[in-house]
Amino acid sequence: MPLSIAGTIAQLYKTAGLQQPTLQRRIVLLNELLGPYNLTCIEIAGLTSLAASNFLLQHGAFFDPIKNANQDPLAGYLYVSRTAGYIFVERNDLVVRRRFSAAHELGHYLLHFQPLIASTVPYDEDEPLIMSEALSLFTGDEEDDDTPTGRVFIPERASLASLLPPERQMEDEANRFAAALLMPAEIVSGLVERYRPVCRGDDLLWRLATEMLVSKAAIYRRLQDLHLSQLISASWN
Amino acid sequence: MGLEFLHEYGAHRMRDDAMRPLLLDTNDRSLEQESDEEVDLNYEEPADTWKPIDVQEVAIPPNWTLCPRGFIDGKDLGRTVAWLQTTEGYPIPVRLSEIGAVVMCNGSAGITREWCVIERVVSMIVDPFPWDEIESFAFALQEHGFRLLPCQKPQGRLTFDFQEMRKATQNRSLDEMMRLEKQALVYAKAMPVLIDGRLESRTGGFDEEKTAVVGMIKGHYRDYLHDQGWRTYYALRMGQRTPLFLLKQKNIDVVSWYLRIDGTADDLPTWGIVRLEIPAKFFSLTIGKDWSYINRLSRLICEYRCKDKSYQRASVSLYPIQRAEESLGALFAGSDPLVHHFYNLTRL
Repeated sequence: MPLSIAGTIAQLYKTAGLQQPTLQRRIVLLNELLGPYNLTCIEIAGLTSLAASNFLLQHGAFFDPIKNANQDPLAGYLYVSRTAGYIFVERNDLVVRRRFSAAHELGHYLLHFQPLIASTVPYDEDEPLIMSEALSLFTGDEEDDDTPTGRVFIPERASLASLLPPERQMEDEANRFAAALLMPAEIVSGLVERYRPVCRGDDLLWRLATEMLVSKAAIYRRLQDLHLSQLISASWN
Repeated sequence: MGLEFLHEYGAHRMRDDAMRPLLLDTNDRSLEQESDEEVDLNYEEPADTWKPIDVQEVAIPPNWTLCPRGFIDGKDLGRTVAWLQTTEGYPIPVRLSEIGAVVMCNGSAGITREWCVIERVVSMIVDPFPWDEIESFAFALQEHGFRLLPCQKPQGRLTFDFQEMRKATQNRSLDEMMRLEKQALVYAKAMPVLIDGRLESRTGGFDEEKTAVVGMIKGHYRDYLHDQGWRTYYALRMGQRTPLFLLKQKNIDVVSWYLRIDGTADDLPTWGIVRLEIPAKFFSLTIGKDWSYINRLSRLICEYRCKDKSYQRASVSLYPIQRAEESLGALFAGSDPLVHHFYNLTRL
């Protein structure tokens, strides 16, 4: 049964024992939300799946390199086994983008990988299950509106891939999860209500971006999702 | 981690110190940014026939609807309060500021404060640090009423030149102050307003075609004039202006002119001369290039000049702008108490 993004986020806060953000506390503590899960977040400069593989080998996380690892530059990378998970982000990215990449990978973990692991437990608990997701590197600067895209790999259990939603849907869900997590609808609406009377266009975007520690492109996409983007282009007349 | 972030990275307090010249580079990048501007000196008069235009005797109708009634000013009262280093040793300045903007209105009760906004901000380059530590720091700042303003690295890269990093950090809070000034412009809506500063950096805060907005610039950042223009400039007497010239800029085209609002030939040659600008679209489409508008405006600005000689920049200031500065200053907590509060919170 597919998990709803809102339900997953609510569960995430419940598991972490944290309060949902408010208009007064509008920066989401993503790192604290990761805490209860067996997920380690690592920043690597020049992130590729090969660099992630080498990092995990050097740190004794496992003994065999990641299959299909390559040198394609990445913004984020998620590596999950039955017992542990690692979120990698590109260290040279802007902080606001690193947060989004980490949230995107958390979305894959909670919406796709964790349910898949759970669904295989009764049948083949002892079989190895390795999954990974590679998020393409962002291009341009903070203002560029580039929707992140990635790819999911399940190298040793290709048959399990059929249990997952189509690739495009998974990417879309991970992006929507990251946006909803870092920019909750009620907070965005509240801030828009607060600043709209005196902030126009770009200024409103920058204002919201700094209030929530996200990129300008991310907040713009979120406003589009929430059907509020017309406020950005609202003319003087 | 929260506010401990600074402590964890070995941040030091920094004494109040003026900006120093850049360590490695003496180029003034603010001038380079303006090199896109195109100047048309033949806008009002042929460039080679420029001479001072007297506005002293110009009459201003009592109910002139385009008379500026709103006066907007912003303030960035802050300084670099600490510095820390990245793991690679790059120096990262931390600037603490109170920023604000105000709309003063000249009405029947005199010049009164109509609207204002004040904020406490911390600007610093954040990208060299782990995202989770910055997240926690920003969250903790927010809890204490400060907003973290992430700065871009100067020219897209880190440098060991502390002054260059410091300049980037200072520019960030100044940019944010200008955003507050734009909020003030939005608040003023259709009211004819005068703003202390260039219009180029406040575009988006007003309607280029319909808002009667005037920018007043005290300093010279670029040489716009030709030889005859400079001769005219130095020949200006109080209440005289140069002909208009058109400035084509990246964000907005403006028509501009110099006006002497104070001083005599016995003062410094540049004494009391300000540059004024209005949106070119407003002047051509709404005003229909009516030069009498410029003359009335110039005359009125001379009337508004600051007569308080104890005020440091009186020769190039307007009384309502002086009031705006004072009004904002009175609302600020003041630099020292704020800095000490910050040191207490961050245990520096």
